[in-house]
Amino acid sequence: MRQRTVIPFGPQHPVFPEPLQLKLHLEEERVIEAIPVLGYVHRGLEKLAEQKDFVQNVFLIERLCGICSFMHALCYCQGIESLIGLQVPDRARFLRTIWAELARLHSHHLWLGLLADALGFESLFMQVFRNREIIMDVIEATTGGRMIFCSCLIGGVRRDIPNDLLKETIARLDQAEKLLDQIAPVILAEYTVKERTANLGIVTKEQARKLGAVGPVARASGIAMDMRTLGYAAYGDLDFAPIVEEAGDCYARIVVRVKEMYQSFDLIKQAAKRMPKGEHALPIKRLLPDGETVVRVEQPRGELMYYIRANGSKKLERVRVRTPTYANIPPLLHMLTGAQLANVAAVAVLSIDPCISCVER
Amino acid sequence: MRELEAIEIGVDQLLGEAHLLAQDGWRLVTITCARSEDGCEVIYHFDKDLKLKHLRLQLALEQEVPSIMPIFFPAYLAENEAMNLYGLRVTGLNIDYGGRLFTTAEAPRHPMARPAGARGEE
Amino acid sequence: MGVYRWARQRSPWIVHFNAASCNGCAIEFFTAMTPIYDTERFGIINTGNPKHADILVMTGGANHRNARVIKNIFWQMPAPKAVVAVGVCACSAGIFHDCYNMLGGVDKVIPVDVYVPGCAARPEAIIEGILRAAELLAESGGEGVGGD
Ligand code: SF4
Repeated sequence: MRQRTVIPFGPQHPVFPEPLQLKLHLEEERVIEAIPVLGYVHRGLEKLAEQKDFVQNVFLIERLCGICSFMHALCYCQGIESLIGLQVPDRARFLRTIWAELARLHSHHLWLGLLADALGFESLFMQVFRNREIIMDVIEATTGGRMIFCSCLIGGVRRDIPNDLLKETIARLDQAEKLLDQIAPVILAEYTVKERTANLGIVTKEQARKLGAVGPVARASGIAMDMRTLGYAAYGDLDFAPIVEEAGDCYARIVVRVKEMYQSFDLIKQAAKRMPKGEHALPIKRLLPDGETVVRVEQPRGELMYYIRANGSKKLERVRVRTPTYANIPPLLHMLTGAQLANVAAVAVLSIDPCISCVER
Repeated sequence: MRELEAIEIGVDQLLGEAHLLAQDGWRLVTITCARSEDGCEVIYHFDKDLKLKHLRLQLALEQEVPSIMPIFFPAYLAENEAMNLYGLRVTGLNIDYGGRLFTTAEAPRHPMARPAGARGEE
Repeated sequence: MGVYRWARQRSPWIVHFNAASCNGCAIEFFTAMTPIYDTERFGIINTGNPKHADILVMTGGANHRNARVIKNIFWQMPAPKAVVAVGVCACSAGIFHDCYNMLGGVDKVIPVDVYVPGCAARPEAIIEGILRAAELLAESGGEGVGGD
């Protein structure tokens, strides 16, 4: 019988910014079982959301996750709006789309940078982060914040993007897209990257269905699932199609995300072109949510689901958040089984783009 | 009052219904647990081609519920979470964290099982 | 000015641990390491190993499960050492103050030398905080700051 070892991977690990612990059962260098140990970031946010009133909750929910904070607020606001029967103005819908895509861009850049770092590609990491700063600047100019936007409110958005600022934004994004043109071929065509990631952590279409994969993980396995096709915010008015790859390995997931970055640039431009005139927020005075609803939006990492139950008072009865990484942990465990220890950190874990603070709330 | 279009089922029907949905190609989105007047309410959310289906289960206090993990593997996180936060009694779990998925022995045992106010309003 | 003082102020190595945070501050900390903000001009290098580090940068508050990890990392660092708490979460648990699983800021678990407020703290503020901690290191003259 070969010897078995158990290696605790994390919670503090250099390539991994977040405290996730994986207990890896190894046979020589091969992982035969991986068990996640959660709870290092568990705060108890769902209960706190029952204690605060539903307007304050927007700001709490944003702090569920710093990377996709805008999407959380968006999803929550859409849920509350459907419960109080409010139709947000057209301009707000388009502004929300722009910010959502900006959030996706900065999240994907962050992921690309961390991946490059994990592969030992430090100059690429620096390049990606330089590019990301352009997007952060745009975000700061339009919302006032860098990580936590606080720009989505129930009934609309907190502030408008005036048309001249919008023009400037597009010009800046063009610049960022050009820089991405220099980076993307490096990561996609460089044979060292391909060699390390192709045929690794394969999730077939059938397995992805069974394991409940969402977002880029599912799309890289050939499932055309993208919540944006539900047509929330302004996505119903824009032209796009989910980006799908067939291979299901780590390389396919990289390709999907890089292509999605270009798609985001395109969506922002479309939204800016068709930006309707009008007001950007409606008052919600004296409206109270009642009933229960399920809302879903597409985050950078996949499908985000909120279940909200209200009882006609200011405080909500239940807010349940199912984040994309939560759904992608079973596929991750599947990928890790059989992987080499050296590939665990760099390739397998990062290819699902984990966000642990989302999982544990 | 807007209600979710959920199919009300009993505990004994759960596994059968889950089997049917699995054969039909539905994906488990998640499991939601919530407090109700006498015990606890569990909602299973399923998705197929962007359409949603919900199964709703009313449980009395301390009533046991079978795990659907053998049918839908992704259920294990959500079921362990419900065991931790709500004290739900799930039987037949293959990966069991012993009701301590998120919290440790120092934290409240089933923090969401009682209404808010335990710590915030002290 | 002795050579110790000079060396400590000019090349603080940092180890970063992300406790119960929302990632916002953690990502801003990463940003502070990259070309636009470039902490390497101050000799600041991010290492993964607490045994090589002089400064512990904490983002996010302490909860029941990660308190042990925070202590562990802190005690693995050789003296003299300093702790920087980045973001209101690390300072006082911030918006999560009333959550059932939170102990509070990191100072509930380990001694903190520099508090950087902000939600999320800006990279400029983070750099300022780290430089203040480096000054403290330089002044400590051989004994540890922060707890030893
Ligand atoms: S201070 Fe704010 S941005 Fe930073 S970790 Fe806490 S909630 Fe997130």
